Formats: sequence, C-alpha cells, structure tokens
Amino acid sequence: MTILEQGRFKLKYVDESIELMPTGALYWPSRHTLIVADLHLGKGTTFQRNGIPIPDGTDQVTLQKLQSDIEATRARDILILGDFIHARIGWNATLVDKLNGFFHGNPDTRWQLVLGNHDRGSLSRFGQFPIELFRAPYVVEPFTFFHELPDQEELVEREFQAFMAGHIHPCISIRDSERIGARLKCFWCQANGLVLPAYGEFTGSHRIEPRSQDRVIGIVEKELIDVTDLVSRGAPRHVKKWESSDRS
Amino acid sequence: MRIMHPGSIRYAEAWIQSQGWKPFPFQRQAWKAYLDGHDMLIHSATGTGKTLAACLGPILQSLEASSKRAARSASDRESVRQANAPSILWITPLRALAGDTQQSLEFAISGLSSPWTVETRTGDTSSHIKKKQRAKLPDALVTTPESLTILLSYANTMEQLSHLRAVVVDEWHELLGSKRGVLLELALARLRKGAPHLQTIGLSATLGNLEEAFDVLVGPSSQRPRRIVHGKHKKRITIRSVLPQTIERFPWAGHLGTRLVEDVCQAMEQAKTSLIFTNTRNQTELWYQELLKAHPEYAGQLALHHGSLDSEVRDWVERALRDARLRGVVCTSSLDLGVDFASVEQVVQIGSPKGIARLLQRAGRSGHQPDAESRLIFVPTNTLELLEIAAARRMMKRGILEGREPERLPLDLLAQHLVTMGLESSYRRGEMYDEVRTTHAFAGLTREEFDWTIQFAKQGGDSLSRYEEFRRLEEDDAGNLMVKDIKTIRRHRMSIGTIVAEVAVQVRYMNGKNLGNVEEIFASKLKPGDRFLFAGKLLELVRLHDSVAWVRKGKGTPTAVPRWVGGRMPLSSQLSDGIREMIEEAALGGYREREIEAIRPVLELQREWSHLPRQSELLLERIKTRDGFHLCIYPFDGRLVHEGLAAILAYRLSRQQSITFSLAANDYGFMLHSTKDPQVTLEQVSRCLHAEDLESDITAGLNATEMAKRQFREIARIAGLIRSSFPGERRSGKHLQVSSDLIYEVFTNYDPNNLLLIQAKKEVLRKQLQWDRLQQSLRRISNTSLVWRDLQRPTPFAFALVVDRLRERLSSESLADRIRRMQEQLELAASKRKQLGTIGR
Repeated sequence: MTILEQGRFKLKYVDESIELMPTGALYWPSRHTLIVADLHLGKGTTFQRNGIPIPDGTDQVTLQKLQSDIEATRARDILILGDFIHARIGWNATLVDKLNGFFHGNPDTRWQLVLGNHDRGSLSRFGQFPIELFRAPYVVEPFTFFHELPDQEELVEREFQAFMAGHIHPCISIRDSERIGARLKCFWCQANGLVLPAYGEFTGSHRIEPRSQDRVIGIVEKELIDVTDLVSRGAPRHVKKWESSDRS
Repeated sequence: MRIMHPGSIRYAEAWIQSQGWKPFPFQRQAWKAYLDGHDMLIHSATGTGKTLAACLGPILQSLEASSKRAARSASDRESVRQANAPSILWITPLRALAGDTQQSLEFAISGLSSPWTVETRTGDTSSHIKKKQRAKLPDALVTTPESLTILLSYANTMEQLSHLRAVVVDEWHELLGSKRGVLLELALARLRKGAPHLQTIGLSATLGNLEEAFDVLVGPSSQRPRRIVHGKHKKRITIRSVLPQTIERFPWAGHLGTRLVEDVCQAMEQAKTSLIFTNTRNQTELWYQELLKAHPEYAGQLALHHGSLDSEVRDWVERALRDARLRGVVCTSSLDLGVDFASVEQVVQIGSPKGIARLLQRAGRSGHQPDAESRLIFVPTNTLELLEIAAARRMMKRGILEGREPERLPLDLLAQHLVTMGLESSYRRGEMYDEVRTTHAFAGLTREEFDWTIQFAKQGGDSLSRYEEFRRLEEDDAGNLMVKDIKTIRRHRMSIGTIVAEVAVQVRYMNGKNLGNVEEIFASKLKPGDRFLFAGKLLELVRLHDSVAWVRKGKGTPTAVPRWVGGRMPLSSQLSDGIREMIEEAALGGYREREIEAIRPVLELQREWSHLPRQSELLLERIKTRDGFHLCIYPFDGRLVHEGLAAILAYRLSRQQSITFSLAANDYGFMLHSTKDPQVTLEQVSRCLHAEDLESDITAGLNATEMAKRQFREIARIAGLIRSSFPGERRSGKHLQVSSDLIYEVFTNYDPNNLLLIQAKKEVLRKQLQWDRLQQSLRRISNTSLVWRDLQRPTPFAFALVVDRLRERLSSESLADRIRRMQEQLELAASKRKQLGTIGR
C-alpha cells in the first residue's frame, strides 16, 4: 500500500492516480481537482427550524475543513458529488454570507456540483454563486461522476471506465478479538470505482457490506487505515478487474 | 332494609353485604381514612378488593355532598352532578386495564345508586370521543400517565378539574423508579395546584420501600395527613423446583437449555391453565416451539405472549385466557401485570427471576379462586440457579423484598414538560419553578438548572452556544412562556411520554396481516430466504422494505431466532444477601433446602478444590490454564456491580504494572484474564478494592463514552431531540432523520456544557453501573477477609466466567493503534494458515 505525506492514500484507476485524504476528500493530481461528497450544509438549521435543537457551528467547521484541504492540495477545481445543501429550509442569511465569503476567498477556483437528491430544492439559490451545476452522469475522462451510484448492471452496460459517487455515506463497524467495536467513516473502493464518505460535519453514516474484491479505507481519527481485512464480507460478485497500483 | 344515610360507611357496608360479601377490615380503614381527609397508600396483593377500598371513599363523599346540597336547594340530581364533575381520576399504567377498571367502578357506582358517569381515556380512545371529553369530562375518568399529561396540555382542562376530589394511582409500584413515574409526579403537581381539595390514593403491591414510595407519590410539600393501609396479601404461596436428573458440576448460563421440557409438560398436566414465564422474548419463542415439538397435541391449547407481538395477537391470548380456553401461555413480563385470570392455577418460572419481588409477583399470577394457593414451579436453566431460588424463597418468607429507587432530576423530562405546559396556555418562570419543585423528583432542582432547561426549550443551549433558528418555547415581553408555532404544538403532543421504543421493523405476511415487530438490528442481518421463529411461527423472509419485513410461512428449520435488546436483570441486592447466607450454610455443612441438597455435589466440589466462602470472606481464585491467567473473585453482588468492580480492579492493577486484562462478569463474580502472569499479591488486590476516587477510576476503566452514548438515546428522545416518525409524515420527515449518536457527538463538539450530556453520564453511573450498590459492595468487601487459592483448573464457580465469551477489555491504546494491532493479528493468523498448507484467502 502506498501512503503519501500528510496521511494521504494513493490508488490508481484506469492508470489515473488519485489520493484519498483523511478528511474524507479525494485529490486527483493530474487535473488539480479536489473531490468531496455530501456536505449537507444547512442541516443544523433545518433541524432548528423544525423545532429540534442542534447547535450552530457545524457548517462553519465543514467549510473550514474544505478551505484547508484546498490550501493543502492547491487544487484549482473543486468537484462536489451532490448533497451540497441539506434542504431548502436550511438556507438563511448566515449561510448565504458564509458561502459568499467562501467563494470570494477562492476567486480562481472553478466550482462544479453534480446535483444530489438533497440539492433539489435549492436550484434557484445556486444561481447567485459561481458554481456550475451538472446532472449525473458527469464525465471527465476517464471518470464518470455520480451522486447516487447507479446499479452495477448499468455501470457495466454503459461501459463507464471508472466511477466516483457519494450519497451512501459509507461506514463500517469493526470489532477486535476482544470485542471492542468502532464505527468508521470510509472510502469504499470497488473494482471499477469508489464511493466517498460524507464530508460534512453533521452527517450520519450508513454501514456498507463490501464484497470480497472491494477495499475499505477507514478514517480513524486523523488518519487513513486500510481496514479491508477487518470487515466481514458478503459473497463475491463479478466485476471488472481491480487495477490499483498497489495490489500486486 | 332500613334506609340509611347515603354517604356513610354503614351505607357502603350494607351494599356489600347485600352482595353476599363481607367488607375486609382494611377496606373499612381505607374508606374512613379517605373521609377523614387523608392521603393514602393501600398496599395489597391483586385480586383482594383494592379497587373497592380505593373508590368507595370518593363515591360516599360525593353522595354526602349532594345530599347536603339537595337539602339546601331543590335542584335536581342532574344539575348537582354537573356542578360536581369531574370528581375522580383513576390512573393505570396499563391501558389494557382501563376497561376492567371502568367496569369495577361502574359496578360500585350503580350499587351505591350514585349518578356518576365513568369513561376511559387512553391511547386507544378514538379522537372523536377524546374531543367530546375535552368539552365535558365525566365524573370519573380512567386514564394513563401519558393521556393525563396530554389532557393537561389543553387550555380548559384545569378549569374543569378544579373540583377534583380524588386521584387514584393504580399499580404505583410499577411506575415508581421510572421516568414514567416522574411524568405522573409532574402531572400530579399540576393537579394539586389547580384542585386544592385533591386527595391522593395510591395502590401498590408489596415493595421494600413503601414509605419512600408514599413520599414520592404525595410530594415533599404535602401538608395533608397520610396513612398507609395494609391490605390482605398473605395468600399462601408454594414454590417447588424441578430438579434435573443429572447435576452438572460445571454450570454455565443457559446450559440446561430446554432439556427440562418434559418436566414442564408434566407440570402443565397438573393444572387447568399454566402461565410459563421466561426471562426474555427470545426464550419465549424457543420454549413455545420445544413444548409443541414434545407434545404436538398441545396445538391450539398453547399460546405465546410477549411485548413485541401485535396487540391483536396479545388481545386474543388474553381473551382466551379469560375464557379458560388455554392449557398454557408461554410469556415474558408482558403478563406480569394486568387482569387476573381465574383459570390460571399455576405459574412455571423458567430461569432465575433474579429478584424476590418479581418471584412474588409472578407466583401471585396464579390461584385466584377463593382460598386457592399460588403455586410456582421453578425450572432452572443452570444448576446454580437452584441456589438462587432457594435463597429467594427464604427471603420471601422473611418478608424481605426489593425496593424501587425513585428517579431524580431527569432534565430531559423537565424539558419535555416545560414545552407541554406551554402548548395552549402560558406560564411564568417563577410559578413553574415552584410547581415542579413540589414533586419528589425535582425537589432538589436548582434555579440554575431550571433556567438552563427553560433556555434549552426556548433557544437551544445556554447563552454561549448558539442555536440561531431554533425556537420551541417563546417568551413575550411580560415574561410569559408559551409555544406559538402550530406545527411544534401538534408534533409535541404526539411525542409526549417516556416510553422509548427501539427502532422496530414490522413483521407482516404478504397479505398485509401484521404479526408484531423485531428490532432493526436483527432484521438488517436477515437475507431473503432466511427462516426465523417469531410469534410462535416459522417465517421466511421474502423482502425487507421501508421498515417492514414481508414474510411467508417457512418450511424446515429456523436459521435465526430474533433477539431483542433488553435489560437482563442483575441479581437483586436482597437476593445477593440470601445467596451469601446459603453458601455460608453449605460451608458449615448445612444443606437444609431441597434445592441445595440437589446441588450438593457442585458445592462440595467447589469446597474440595477451592473454598466455599463464608459471609465474612471474599474468595479469590488465581487459575492458570493454557489460555493464561484467570483472576476470579466472587462477591455475589450481581452482574452490573461486578462489571464495575472488574473495571476498577483492572484499571488500578494496570497502573502498577504494564499489563492488559480481559474482563468477564456474571451474577456471582468477575474475572480478570491476562496472557502474562499478573504479579499480584493478596495485599495488592485488597488495597485496590476501596471506594476512594471511585468515579474517576471507573470512568477511566470503562468505555464511558460509549456507555454514555447508549444512555443518551433515551434522553434524546424524551427531550425531543429525536423525532419518532408519525403516520403520514414518513416521506417529508426524511431530511430530519438523525441518530442519537450523531447528536451526542455534535453536542460534545459544539455545546459541551449541555446538561443533557451530563445527565447521560450520571445515568450511566446510576443505572448501568448501579452506583449506590457498587459503593455498598466495596464497603462490605473492605470488611471481609480475602481468601486466596492458587489453582490449575477452573472450579464450579469459575467455570462460567472462564467460558464466558462476553468480555470487555481494558485498554489504554488509541483506536488507531488498536486497529493496527488487529491487522497484525490477522496477518499472523493468515501466515500461519499458509504455513499449514490450507487454502488462503
């Protein structure tokens, strides 16, 4: 396995190198693109407006984290794989101010959003920000980007070379021989693509059931660890061949 | 018959005699105490005339009042009745009991020619009737704590209740010690404030702390004279154990399994109807199958009853019991309470009841014909449980019973209450503060805690943490607090209460018929085609969709039996005392009870190989096996206390040397396991078992965060941080789904001073670790002398601990380090496998 500086984790899909980051972001060096999924901004506000007391501050931290990832990678492009905003009622003046400040602070960055199901109610809002909207599948060779991963047959049928997606908020739970358990957000790396963990601070996660050829890279505190061998798996299934650089 | 003055006790007695009965002395005492203006706690077994003891006083009082009024004015009965209504509230913890209570009340009311009307109001009442009741309440209303609280949230309720004379709390022992009890305490505080003449009548089964139970019921500021009325409760009880043919000398939990099924069948042959109690729903399903397998002819005469079954199924079973159509019902505590079934002649208890009061309660479910005795057959699931039943029976004969510790300061419930009381009418801070402090639960509430809770209901956390868009309770310029948002009002009313259901998946046949529910965690592990036992049937999963498991009848053998997360009860403190006493007797050669004689081989082997501790001793066995070193200690103080003791000892010993322990605990003792030799001496161990720095050491020694997270689930639900989905709201509510774990993390990071987090930690200590008992145990241990034995093989006492797979590990490694170590272990295992030439991964 290849572990780069700052705890990044290097993989190869269709001869393209990509780097997984312990924040849950993914960096694609040859295109200078930082990829994140499922920020769910405005989720705390959505809850508050529905009479559920969730403290402020989660959006702030999500955006700070994104800012420092941009600075660390010097990314020129940011690609968000959906669920940028949690819900229409999550918008308020504070969020608009925060986003304005954020976009103005990164004037040379190109912003692209592959729309997710949660973004549906916010389409009219996005017009005021310098962000390009796309519907999945959005192709930047050799990758095809989704919010929600289509089913495997469709992936194979339409001969996408490799995919990236969000939506699932993947996590795994592991237990050691002494039964101490932990639940980890993770990158779910399959033979022909991968699913990113939810990047937002206030996001839950969904336990995945990886298949035998999949790899699972877990986020443990501020590190990435390959936890593939610690996960129990379902039956193997026929997929395109795994082509990562570090599995020989 | 001479016409007597209605309203006098003589009048009531005459009516009872006209029914061919004789009033019991305690009933007469209760009527008199009520008419003299007392608050009362009537303490009596079920089926002994408690209802009449409680309700006749208020009926006589109203007859007296109306006859006086009639003498003053010529107004007719009808107008008098209206002037009076409503007079009595009857609170029952089980809505299934409401109908029966209504019937008993109507019987008494018509018998005494009172003009009262009686109605019920529970979760089962139609909204149409509820609406009518809100406009005009009946003279006597039978309701549950939740329905009462919801009723009190309507603006005009207190006005209607201002002439309320009596509130009867049935089965108070069931509510005491739970947050549900506190919900009722808060409602009673509101009633007492609005109805100054209100008298309280509690009904309770036998409890170890009756006085305290009474204090909690009436509240600390009550000025009314009070009286405990002791009713009939010495019904004859016999407890007999089934003794297994062969006695295992190395018993462990559940080991006997369902092997004694034939004995249970034999017992069933001797009674018209038997209730067969198991301790878990899972066991209920298994035993039901085993009994049917052994006796296929029981089909149709044997039923199954537990809390996860659809209410229609349960209702059917209860009706069949009432009509004496069943030979047996395999059940859990779901049938502990409720109406008595005359046909039930005996109770079979499978597995230790773990407490004396529970044993008494269950035995009391049988033998309701006049002069019949209560008969309980005990079926052990491991041989040492025979020790427990003998101890329980002895303590019961001595009249020693467990108490229930009342809840204190549950701020989650206060937060809920502060919103409930503002749903339709406004209130002022100071008045509300005074009101809630008249309850036992909140008597010690500080103004700071109260203000924090108000603030939390108003704006989220305290002034330092911001909740920009949150508003639940609103305060106007004059300082009146009220909920204004219509949606909030509607939603809150639907979530009032404290009963927190685990996320459940409905089990349904393909034609839509509902069978009940299983926990999501179980359902999520099933794959289509899997077969599982549920509701006494073998079912095959067809598909799982939107929280519904669609099933059809299955063929063959089950692949799974659902497990429900549920409190496995630890041995009670009083029963622990009994067991230590029994072991001491055995140590001195006394095998008096039949059960103890039966397990004599086990106890003698224990003495031969190691030691049988007397009450002044604490036995420690250091056992070296191929697996490593086992340090086993036996305080006999119940599993939860032992988990705490194990954590403390492991933590303290591991500070003196570098070592890693795995921990195991059961009701009799605990074990520290290590692969290397723990170089400990008797002095070191005894020095470590002290009560100083207990809280910090135990928090450090246990995975306290995980435990607090688990405890927070209930708090989050009660305080309204998590919304249950309501019918019709499923879709739109999707963007509001969140787990309590996530909220716990967000609070910890963004509002760390939130008092609900602190409450979660306190509840962990008190409920998950039985804090008070743990301290008592350490104090007791400090007065015992430690008896040390070095051994080469597990003793009968040690065996269950050594084979127990449920081990907690005390580790100081970081999560990342632990995961790396796990990887290394796997690597090692994998390379070994290769060397052996087997096929690798």
